[in-house]
Amino acid sequence: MNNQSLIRKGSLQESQARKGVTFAEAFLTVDAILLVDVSGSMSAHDVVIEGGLRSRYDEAQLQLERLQRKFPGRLAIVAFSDNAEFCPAGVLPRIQGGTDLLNALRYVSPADGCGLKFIVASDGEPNSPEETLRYANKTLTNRIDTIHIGSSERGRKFLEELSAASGGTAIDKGVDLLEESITKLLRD
Amino acid sequence: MPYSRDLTDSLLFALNSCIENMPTTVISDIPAFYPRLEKLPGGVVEISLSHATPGTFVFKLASTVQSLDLIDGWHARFSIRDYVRVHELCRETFGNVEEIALDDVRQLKVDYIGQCRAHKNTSRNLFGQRSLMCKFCRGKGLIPGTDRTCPKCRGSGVEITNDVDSYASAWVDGGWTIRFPEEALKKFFPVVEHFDGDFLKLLLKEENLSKAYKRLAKEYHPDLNPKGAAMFRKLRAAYETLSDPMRRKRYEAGLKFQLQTVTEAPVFIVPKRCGLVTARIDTVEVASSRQQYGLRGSLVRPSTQIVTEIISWIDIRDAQGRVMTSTWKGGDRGVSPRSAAQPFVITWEDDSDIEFEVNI
Repeated sequence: MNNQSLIRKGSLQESQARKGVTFAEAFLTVDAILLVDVSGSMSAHDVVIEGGLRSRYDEAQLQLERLQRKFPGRLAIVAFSDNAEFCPAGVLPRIQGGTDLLNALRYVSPADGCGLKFIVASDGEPNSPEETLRYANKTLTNRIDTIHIGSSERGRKFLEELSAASGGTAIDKGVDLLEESITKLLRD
Repeated sequence: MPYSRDLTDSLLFALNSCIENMPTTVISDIPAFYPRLEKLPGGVVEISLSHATPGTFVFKLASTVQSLDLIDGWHARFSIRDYVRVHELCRETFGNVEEIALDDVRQLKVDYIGQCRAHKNTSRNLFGQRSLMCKFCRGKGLIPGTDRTCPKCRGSGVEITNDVDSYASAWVDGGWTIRFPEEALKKFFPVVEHFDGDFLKLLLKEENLSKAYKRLAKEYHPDLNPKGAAMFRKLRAAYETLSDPMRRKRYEAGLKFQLQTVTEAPVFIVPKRCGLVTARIDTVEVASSRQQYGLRGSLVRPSTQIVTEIISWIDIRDAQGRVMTSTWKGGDRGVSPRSAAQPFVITWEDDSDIEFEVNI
């Protein structure tokens, strides 16, 4: 559970509180689960902003904040690094560790096949790419859309393979266009 | 050393306050405490009923005056801000309020208010515009009179969000001197799971969804139960959700995530029934030797004794066999007497209407 007390407007938790329903009931209105990478590489300060650079992580937080306002109660955010963590308040936990996408896909597997989109936003290659692809292809029935938000060529290739294996769409647009990318995927 | 004590005095004051006896007794005594109002040093009205029928007038006020503060069940104090409401209430209850002459209180200034033991360093006004701030957790919401520590953190500095240490109290030897902690109450009283209206969770457990839906629909259908309309709508929505395999799966997934992310601590609500009790008492909690808010400065409060085991409990019943129930002093820790909720009300109810609840 995310320890931060901040609750983003439009997040699942805020939506839950506003409607006065349980978390599970609020989950019924969700359209997509966003799997957002919070591994160590997300701390790279390579997002150009006016007057300097911002880290991928900070930019992702900002973009997710806007997205949740745009689609209130419709996005469930799961942050992953070595562990996967649900973020009902819409706030990403601190950056740590590696990129265990396989574990994250297993974590969200209960929601597989119930009409939700899985969208992975990551900047790199996961710990066990082949196994992850196999799992996405053989075990999950959902299509997985991917957004590459880094600069690694191997990472971009992997995410393309992942989306292709599950019949999803791959986007490579950078973290500063995360909002636009996800909006596009949600409206497809 | 543990010892048992027959609490035959328990809640006798409440028996004395039977509603039937109330009006005549109190009306005749109102002028008697009028002079005291002129002597108050601060913006708090204090009414003593120690020589009249105790409790009755207090309870009458308690049912409407939000900031009423019960002190040991015999005195009522309320802020000057509320005197108008008291005035109105008295008019409704007793007719000619001019006898009480509460208008005199208007001349008093809100300049003094005492401090709670846990909040010695605060200069905040207990009954003023600003809420009292706890020096430990910095939270607002000290309940004057009902408890001597901040209800949010209990003096620990860490906010307590569930009611794990809720308790009821008993009236003995002229004071609320016996405390029944939750553990003791739970051992004696059955605890049932309280249905909170979550039909999704309820129906999910059923093997035959349609059958369960029909059974519940009979209970809540507005044609059969005029009060069940809202519940029926919830039931209908839950049924529609679970009938759709896709939505059902999504709900189940949400439930799994809920278990991983949301901590749901059970909330224990103390029993509301009043009784004559035999109990085992182990601990004695020594209370402050000074009266809490110091209007008179030196009233000695009795110590508080903690019940470890309830040995027997005989319900107090009226002629019709109904059980005396009450919102117990200190029992609903989260309920402020200054909130809209009634701080202390005596009623008589059929056994079947009294609940012991654990919300899960």
